[in-house]
Amino acid sequence: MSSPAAGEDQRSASAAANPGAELAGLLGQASTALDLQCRAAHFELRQTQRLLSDATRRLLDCFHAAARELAEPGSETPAARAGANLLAASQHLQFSDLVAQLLNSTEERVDGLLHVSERLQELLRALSAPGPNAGERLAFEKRAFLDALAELEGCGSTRVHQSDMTAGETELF
Amino acid sequence: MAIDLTRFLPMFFEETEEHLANMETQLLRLDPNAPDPEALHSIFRAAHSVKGNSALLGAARFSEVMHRIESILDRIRKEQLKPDNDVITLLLEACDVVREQAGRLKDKGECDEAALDALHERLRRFTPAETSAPAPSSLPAPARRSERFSIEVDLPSGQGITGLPLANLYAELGALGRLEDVRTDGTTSLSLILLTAQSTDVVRDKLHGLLGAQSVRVTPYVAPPKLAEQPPPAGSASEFGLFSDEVSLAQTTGMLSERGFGRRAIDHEATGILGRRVTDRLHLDRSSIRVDVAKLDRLLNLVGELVIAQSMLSEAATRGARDARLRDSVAYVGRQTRELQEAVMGIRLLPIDYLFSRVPRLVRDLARRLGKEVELITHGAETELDKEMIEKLADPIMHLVRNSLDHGIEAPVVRAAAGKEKVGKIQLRATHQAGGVVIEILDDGAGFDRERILAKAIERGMPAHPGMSDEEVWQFVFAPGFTTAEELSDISGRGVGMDVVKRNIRALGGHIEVRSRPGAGVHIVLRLPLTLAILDGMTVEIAGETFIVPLSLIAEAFLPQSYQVKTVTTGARVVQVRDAYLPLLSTDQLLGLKGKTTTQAAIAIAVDVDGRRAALLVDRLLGQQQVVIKSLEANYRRIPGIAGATVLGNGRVALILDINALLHLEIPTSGGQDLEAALGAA
Amino acid sequence: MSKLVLTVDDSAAIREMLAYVLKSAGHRVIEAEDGMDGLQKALANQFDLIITDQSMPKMDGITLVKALRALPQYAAVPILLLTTESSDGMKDEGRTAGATGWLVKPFDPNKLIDVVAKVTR
Repeated sequence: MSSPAAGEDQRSASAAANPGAELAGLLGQASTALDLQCRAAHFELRQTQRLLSDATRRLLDCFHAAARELAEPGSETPAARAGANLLAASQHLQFSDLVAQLLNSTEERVDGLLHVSERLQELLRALSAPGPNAGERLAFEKRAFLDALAELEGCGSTRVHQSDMTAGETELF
Repeated sequence: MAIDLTRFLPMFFEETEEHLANMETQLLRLDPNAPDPEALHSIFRAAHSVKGNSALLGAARFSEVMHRIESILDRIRKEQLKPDNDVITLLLEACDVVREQAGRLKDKGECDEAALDALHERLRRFTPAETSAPAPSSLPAPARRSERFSIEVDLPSGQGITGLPLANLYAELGALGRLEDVRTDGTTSLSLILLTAQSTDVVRDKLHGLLGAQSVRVTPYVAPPKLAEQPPPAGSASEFGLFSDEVSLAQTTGMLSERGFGRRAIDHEATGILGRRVTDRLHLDRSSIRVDVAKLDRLLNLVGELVIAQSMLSEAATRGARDARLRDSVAYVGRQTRELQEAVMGIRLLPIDYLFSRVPRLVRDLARRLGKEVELITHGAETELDKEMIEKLADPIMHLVRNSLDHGIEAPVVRAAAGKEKVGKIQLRATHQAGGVVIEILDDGAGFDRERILAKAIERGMPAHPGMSDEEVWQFVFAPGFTTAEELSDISGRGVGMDVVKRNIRALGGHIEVRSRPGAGVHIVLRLPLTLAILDGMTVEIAGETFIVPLSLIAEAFLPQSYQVKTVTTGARVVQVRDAYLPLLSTDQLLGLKGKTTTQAAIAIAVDVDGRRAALLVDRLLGQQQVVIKSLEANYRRIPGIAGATVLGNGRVALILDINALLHLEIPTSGGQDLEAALGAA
Repeated sequence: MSKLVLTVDDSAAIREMLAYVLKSAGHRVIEAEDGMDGLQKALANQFDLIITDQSMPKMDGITLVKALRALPQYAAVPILLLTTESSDGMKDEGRTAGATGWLVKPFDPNKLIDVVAKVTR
């Protein structure tokens, strides 16, 4: 069993000998993990969007149906109370718009991250693959990677600030 | 550090399936002469996504195949390759192979690598200029980058802005892209900023055409230099507010050109291409729900309970009927519950397009193979059915369509000779009717050959005679093993089809009707309930217990008179109904209950299950209602003759009879312990 | 008094809720699903009040306000912005574009009815 100190020395020695390769290795792992998580997040977002969209539609339909029922002649005082409830509900039913915007924003960020991750992988490949056009290819991939990073800045919308959403509105099916 | 990829596998398979289906749909719609750039972009993105996923999870062959597909699509996008029939067919076949292999990978953990290699080779031939190694990953850039244009319009002197054809102008601009800013001084000019993917020439041409070349100037937009950030004034967070009433138009426009305009432009600089992507995404996907089915089931259960609770309430209300307000309130709750039920059931409902969308492909491939020309028309693809039902209808409907293609629609020459149009028509129609769904498959082919069917039926010893009506003759088609095809074609010919189709439809609680006119075609009508979990039933009393009989299987109910009841040699009884004799079954005995049912006081229910007819004796008819089916197996165990259970409005349990099983049961010798125990446990 | 109101929002839920609340107060409502649709409808009718969302396809709310204010027939018609954000930056922009007021989502139905009555007096 070698002492931790010796292990450290060994690692730093090999790192010194081949810093580029080790770094590329670590970045490669990070990039893969990033890629995977982004794809999964993307997938989950799409599921949530669909769920939200359908649930909202159904809720709205229920709402309209109840409103129509109330408008029928012959309804008595329970109708007045129910009407007030429906009016209050009309505020809560707006949640889907806000959540949709949030989801879109998140999806944009995820897209941006995915893009960065893909470009990073290409860059790493270019770094570790010598060849006739290596220099050209490396320059191309560096440029593309930096562009993707720059685009990431503009991803997502910081404009949606919703402070007052009580639990219950987001209780979806 | 190895990442555990297995967690991501289900997602990968589901996404791949989805993307491939999407690609297929879009490929089928592609116009070879003017392929829609948006569609190409969408197909490319789908392929790209599958490529990335595959590469990540180590499915290198998939990834390479998708890369080839990407390259072909790229060539089409750059107009280097025309998406003609051969190209589309190749791409469709590629999707098929990938889908099949992905399925194998998912089910068996391995796939046919040779098949993928072969596909890769075929695809490679379409991209001859490519080197063997994948080129630097080109992400799907939009076909054309969006750019901003500054548009200056001179206002007609004296008329101001109202002199312009505003409705047309804005309509034109809206079609070109996104309008980002508008300013005017009211008298001399109108300035607009337009974000568009179109070229300068296109924009100029459109506007010159509308307003005249002298009055419009279109130039690439240049953002003014960044202004210093203004510190936000301390403001209240009130929910609404009014600006000062004195803000006049002049002040407004003055402020615009000074401050507001420039600052907003800065925000947009960073978005670039993404600006376009944001607007695309603001429209939510309107497609289906993919949610954990267990969650759905739990929810459905809860709604089921609610339905039961509501009917209990209703029952209590009728007993306390004197209070009109109570009755009204209860009725109101009842309506809302029904609405809620429908809304929740709706989550399991999918548009039948899920099924219909698979048909164009089938028709296209099969028609080609058979050398026939067929047009497919669908109506009502948005009609909704229970998800599970759609899955179970897929095979029967595909089979019926195959039949139409194979045996129904004639070859073009034959059709022409018969004075028909060369192109045959197959129609798929779906509508909601009377609380259920009706699906129709029609073709304008040759129709059923009555003589051949009759001949075949007689040959096989079936009760057929020339005097039968057409409808009766068509029924033979549903007999097991029946086929009039002289040679069994590999497509649909084995004749095991129609009886299985009928059985499948029956299993879903539906009926199948068939109509045909010689030379005019075949019309098949499928009638199905909306969902599998709710049943229209007739409540009956047998030996003091309440049971439910599925309404769809009941032909009629009657009071058998003693002269109608006869005993045959085996000791079994039959009852005469008009000109037929039906086996008369003592249901209580079949179920092993200590019966009190005698023939005199009892009611007979004539049932018809897949052509098997019988009459079941019950003590009383109690009523008719919709019930929510609860599985007995989940709570107790399977009992022969019982299909499930439900709770009635009075809180009591009723067992739902499995009529088909009952008709096959013999009277048990063990006595009714099983059944009574079940009634106790439920 | 019953007013003719144009509501512009790309979210069906918001449009439907606006319509429900406004109609329950006796007003008549026409809906549009993005800025351009809103502008077209505004040109084709004369509205007493316009309520518009901010972020929409084709044209956002603030641009719509500017386009409307450029038209003589809408120079003095009240226009309300419906926003998810109540930041002062947004309020500034709205004010300078010429909006009459703003509502933060999710709007309170009773407050909406009050504001509408107030600005269309």
